[in-house]
Amino acid sequence: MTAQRQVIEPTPLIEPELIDKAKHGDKQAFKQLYQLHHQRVYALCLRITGQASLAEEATQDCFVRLWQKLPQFRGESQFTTWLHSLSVNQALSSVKKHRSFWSRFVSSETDIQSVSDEYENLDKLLLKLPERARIVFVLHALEGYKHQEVAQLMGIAPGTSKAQYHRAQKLLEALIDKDSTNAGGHNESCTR
Amino acid sequence: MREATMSHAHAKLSQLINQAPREIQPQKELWQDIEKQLDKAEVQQSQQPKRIKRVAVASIALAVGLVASNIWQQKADILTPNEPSALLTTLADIKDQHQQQVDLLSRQQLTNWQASTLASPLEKGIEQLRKAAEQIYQALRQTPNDKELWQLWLWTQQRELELLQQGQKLPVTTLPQGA
Repeated sequence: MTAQRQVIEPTPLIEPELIDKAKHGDKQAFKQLYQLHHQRVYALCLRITGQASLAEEATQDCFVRLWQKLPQFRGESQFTTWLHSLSVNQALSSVKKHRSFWSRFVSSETDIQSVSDEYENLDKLLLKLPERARIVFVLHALEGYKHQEVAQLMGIAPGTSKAQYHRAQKLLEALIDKDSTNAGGHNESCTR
Repeated sequence: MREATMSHAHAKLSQLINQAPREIQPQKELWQDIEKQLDKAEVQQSQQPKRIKRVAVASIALAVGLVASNIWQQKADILTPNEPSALLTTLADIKDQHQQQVDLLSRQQLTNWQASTLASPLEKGIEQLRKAAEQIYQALRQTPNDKELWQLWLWTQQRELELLQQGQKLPVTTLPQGA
């Protein structure tokens, strides 16, 4: 079930040059870097934050932070890996900043209402999960982090990460099952 | 039946995970806001060197002030010994002159006034005066610019001479030959 860690794929032909130029304050080069990576960063932020508005804010913060920290990038790791790590941290910070007490345990009311009935898209199902379960699931199942790494990123115990992952898995399967039943005309399952 | 459904859900979830898009297009364009924030960040970054410059200038000014003060102090210390050296010479000269006067008075004395019954308090007074004068002299060597101390020292010398002269006038036994 766990996916290989998906890093933002490099574009080796132009990226190093763009990075070098952006490091020296070239905004046009930085804009090209943004254009290359913003959709990947946004996907990560949306799945972690669970809200489009928060994801937009987090994505913007990611690139502003990237602009500030780019001179520190020494090329010791791949730029894409570095950006991925920065994006995860920024998205988690954004969640913490906007976190409400109840959001840790239940999914946001507005999120549920805004999700369409179509479940084929995993992202729409993810929005129905409680915050912690969703983040753990995204980091472990979609981004390929180990539970130890997830725990470190979120400041929780590895056991908690595993428990949240299984909880998320069961909730998602239940949502899929429920929707399959509804689609098959078994409306009685809605009342269970 | 239930197990089969859950197994289907599990398989479906795995499928959804594998098919999850790597990228999602944001609903609105984000670059413009990012660019504005970059400008802000640049302003902040450009202000930071200004702040650093200000602090640096202030630090340099402070350092220059301290160094100048230190140099001035050192110069003062260097100059002070020169001036005091002249004062110390004067001090030593005055002391010598005073001693010569005392010696002269001793040689000129016609009477052995120390033998007089009245001489004891006078002698005691002179002795105390000399001790005080010596202490003042040593103090003056340390602080030759102290005017009050100078006045006091000169007064003790003057007073010693006066007391010696008073002692000369005491009506006592004549000195033996060769005194």
